[in-house]
Amino acid sequence: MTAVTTCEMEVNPLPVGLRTGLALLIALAALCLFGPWLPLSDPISQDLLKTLAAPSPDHPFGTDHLGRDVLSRVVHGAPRSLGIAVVCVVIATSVGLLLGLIAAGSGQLIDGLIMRFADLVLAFPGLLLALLLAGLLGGGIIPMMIGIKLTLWPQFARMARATARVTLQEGHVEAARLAGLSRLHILRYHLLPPVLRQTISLATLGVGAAILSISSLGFLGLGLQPPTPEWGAMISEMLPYVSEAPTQMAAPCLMIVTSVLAFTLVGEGFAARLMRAKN
Amino acid sequence: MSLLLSRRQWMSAALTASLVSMSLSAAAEPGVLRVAAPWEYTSNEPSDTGYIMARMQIAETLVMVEPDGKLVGGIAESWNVAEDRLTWRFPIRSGLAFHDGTPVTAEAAAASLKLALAGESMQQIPVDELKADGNAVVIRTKTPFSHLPAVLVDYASVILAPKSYGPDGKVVNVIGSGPFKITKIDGKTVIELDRFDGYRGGPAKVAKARYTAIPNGDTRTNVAIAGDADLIFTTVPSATPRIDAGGQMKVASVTVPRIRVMAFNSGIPQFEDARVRRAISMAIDRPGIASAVLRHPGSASTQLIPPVLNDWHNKSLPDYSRDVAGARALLDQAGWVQGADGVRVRNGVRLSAKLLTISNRPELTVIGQAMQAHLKEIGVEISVDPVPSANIPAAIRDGTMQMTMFARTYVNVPDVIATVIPDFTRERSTWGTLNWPGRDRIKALTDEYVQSFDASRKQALRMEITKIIHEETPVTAVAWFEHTVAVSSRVKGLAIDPYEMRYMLHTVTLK
Amino acid sequence: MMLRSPLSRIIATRVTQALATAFVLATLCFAFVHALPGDAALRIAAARVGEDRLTLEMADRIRREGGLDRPLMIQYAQWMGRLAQGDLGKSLVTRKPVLDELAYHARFTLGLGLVGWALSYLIALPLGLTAGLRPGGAVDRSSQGMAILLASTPSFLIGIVLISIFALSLRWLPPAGYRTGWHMVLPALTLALGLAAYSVRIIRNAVVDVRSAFFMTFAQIRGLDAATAFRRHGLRNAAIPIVTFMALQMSYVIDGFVVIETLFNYPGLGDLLVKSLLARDVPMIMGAGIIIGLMFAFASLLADIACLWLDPRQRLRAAI
Repeated sequence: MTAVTTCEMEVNPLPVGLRTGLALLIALAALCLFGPWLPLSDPISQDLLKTLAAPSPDHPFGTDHLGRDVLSRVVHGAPRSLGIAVVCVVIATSVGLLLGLIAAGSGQLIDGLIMRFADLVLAFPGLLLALLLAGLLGGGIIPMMIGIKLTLWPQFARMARATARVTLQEGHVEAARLAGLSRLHILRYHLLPPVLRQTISLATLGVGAAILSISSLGFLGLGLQPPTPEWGAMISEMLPYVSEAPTQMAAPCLMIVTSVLAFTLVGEGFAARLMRAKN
Repeated sequence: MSLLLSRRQWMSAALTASLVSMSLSAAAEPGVLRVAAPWEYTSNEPSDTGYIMARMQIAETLVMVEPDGKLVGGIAESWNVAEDRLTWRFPIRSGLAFHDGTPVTAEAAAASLKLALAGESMQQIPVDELKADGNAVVIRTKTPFSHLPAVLVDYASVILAPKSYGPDGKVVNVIGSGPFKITKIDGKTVIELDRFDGYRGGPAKVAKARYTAIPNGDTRTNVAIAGDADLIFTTVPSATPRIDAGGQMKVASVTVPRIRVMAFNSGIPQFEDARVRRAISMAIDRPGIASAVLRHPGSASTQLIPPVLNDWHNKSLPDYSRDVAGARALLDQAGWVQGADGVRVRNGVRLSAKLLTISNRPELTVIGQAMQAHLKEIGVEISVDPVPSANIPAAIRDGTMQMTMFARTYVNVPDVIATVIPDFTRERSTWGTLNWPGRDRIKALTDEYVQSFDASRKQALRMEITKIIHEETPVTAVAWFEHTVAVSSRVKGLAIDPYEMRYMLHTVTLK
Repeated sequence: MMLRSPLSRIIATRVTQALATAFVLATLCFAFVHALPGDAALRIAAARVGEDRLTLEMADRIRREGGLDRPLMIQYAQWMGRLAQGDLGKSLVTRKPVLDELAYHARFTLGLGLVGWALSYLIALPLGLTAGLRPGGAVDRSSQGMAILLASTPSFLIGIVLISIFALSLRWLPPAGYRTGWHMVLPALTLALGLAAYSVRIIRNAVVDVRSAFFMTFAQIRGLDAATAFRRHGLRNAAIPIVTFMALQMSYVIDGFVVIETLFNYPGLGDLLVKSLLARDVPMIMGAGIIIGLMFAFASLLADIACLWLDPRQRLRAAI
């Protein structure tokens, strides 16, 4: 999905968006890095006498159905919800770029094989793949990550292959080859820069998509194991109590939307800059 | 170019058309009783979905149970057992008819029962012979089987008309003799019903009924808040305040003999000592769980059978309610010493286990998390692992289960004995004990119970069985179930059956 | 020659691809399901009779009857053999033919998908066109903002918000089910909003691109006013990326169905697949794999045909 939005048609610069997105990203990164060290209550300690308490100075976002502090759970959930998404995308990017570059540089047979395989994976609904894997390996981080990674890499492979194909036909590459420079040199100085430029925006958008997938899995009850705080699972846990505890439900919702928004804004911002540079 | 515009026009035209066709009102239809429950109608086989046929009162069994627990005649008028204590006679009520107008005969009932007995759920009956004899169904057992009438309440033994069965004995059409007959089945989700005017107790008060399966609990809650049904069975307990606040439906509830139990693997070093199992039972804050998680303070329980089953509920059992000091003392006696990280250790084994819960019963996982905190206080470490429900019998079978929590009904049939035998007398049960040495004592008692026709002896046996299970704690009760029903303001005259055998729709009137 | 025509060649390629994808998907499903830990027969038994009645004897019987105790390669070969004769087998849970079950549930998914998809373009086309014709205008800015916000919201959250507003507070629409057309509004809207969030931007960008293209300037030099020039030359060109994108939206639709059908108790394919997966209903899962593969291929085929029809240059290129 997101791959398409970045394809050559993104023109609107949204410089404000890019700036907002970057600011949000920095805030989220700070939350992930320093949040767990903040003097907050234990995210998994319960108090069955104080369940679904309204927001108060002790519990600024209130408590959940087991009397756990929601603020603390949101904060501790950040490195998990976001960290998993980032790791997934980093791995998917590396696999995708590698396969895409191999496809671009090889003969028809290998190229065809890799790209048909990418088509196949693209045709497989990502959430279902993650569901199958969650069944295969039991719930938890690993199957979720594998599922999400598997659905993301074909985008990167396609992009890397397409960019590399175009670049390989350009004059400066031809010149470098005639000058007798090694394949490694061509890869390092001629192919990688344009591919990586494209990668940044695609990867940031991918992180957004991964956060959405992770939260959907959490919502379907197939994500991380309780009592680990994770935003999607927090939402589905709080759903039965939504009218009594709206703040407790709103907090993780807002976090998901904000972080996807941040990654989307940054991704699109980069894509727009790329487009302008090209024109 | 005009082509593209016309495509757009076509698209919006199609959409308008579909919206117009939607404008049939979604409001409550007069005269239709809208029933919703979690279970999908997956097949026509009584052994699979007989509970929907029985609950929606489409088909009836030979013997039935009243909400107060009394066994009464259903298709059979009454029953008696011969001097040999083996031969049972069930005379069929006269003048009964199936929904297709054919009479309910002893031959039809016997044929239906024979097919039911071929399935697994009724194999516990040691049948020697089953036949129609005059106007009665006669069942002879190989050994005395005193609770046969109770077992015949089993929904798998609903009596269907001869025309219901295909040539291979599979049900192709559900033709019963209950107060409602099926007019249409849509997938697994919806069954449309008309009242059956020829019903023996007189026709039902409502003309039509509709059964809708809504497996997702949150969705059932939403339907209840929106008031988009008249009766919603088994609503999520935690959602009761929201449903009541919605103002469309009110939640009624009755305690049922279904219970959330925790079972131990009594064969592993952690739990081989009954004192450890009892200490764990004593560490759990059941009232806290009942009011905070289940939102029903009355459901906290330390014994398996609730008072509603007055035959099996044992008033004399000691109460193992929360006593942290007592629990610690028991663990000390059993030789478990607190280690550096707070978890107790004995002979190099940590008092630590994995608790399997059922992923599609989310409250169990929440209770598991609550118990995790309670048990930590006495130096017992558990991790909670929600798994698909079938993984638990599998883990019991292969012996890998350490600790598990599930929901178990003790009235699959109205006599608890039918569930005690598979759960407590085997080395590896399906839903119950694992490697429990006390099983042989229970086995001796249940064997005697099955063969006994002496009411007072049976009462004494019941008390002994429940006492052993309670004190040895191979499983421990956590909380009873509430059978919850959201009822719309249109509905009058609803009775709730704690046995969950029938939804008692025939007495309901709609305003 | 007829077969040489670009259309039949594209159809032939796509059909081959579709069959190959469907086949590989089904094989993957087979491998996955059998690699899953836990006892499939026990799962099937639980799905048939419910937890309370589950016994180990029942599981053993299902294993024998369903042939689940046979070696994997033999099970696979038998399945392939039956498939060659067009027989997808019977569901192990409901005991009904897989094809009947799929047809029943596909009806709901296709219906909901089509309405949701059409609704999304009913929202996205006017907004996208207006925004694209006046980039930087008020409509452009606000629609882009909304689109980004919606695209950042998980579909279950959109659904929950819609249910809370329209079903629980206002009570205008039923919260779940499928019996009347009204029941379809909220799930279709949930799907449509998720789809429109992306298509609004695609449409807007396509329009902006085309407006600044050389042939538009040329048309205006020829004396056509801007609106006429866009209608005559722009729309068709702008439609090409949009149509390609429409087909790609299929994957979002299928993913969305898993969540939306669960939330709205809608008996579609996503719901069927999740339940079959939980119940380990092997023939059902493999059948669903085939159908989903074919649906993807069919959508790509439609997009290809539409692009050919919209863009005569491709027709020429393909014919050479």
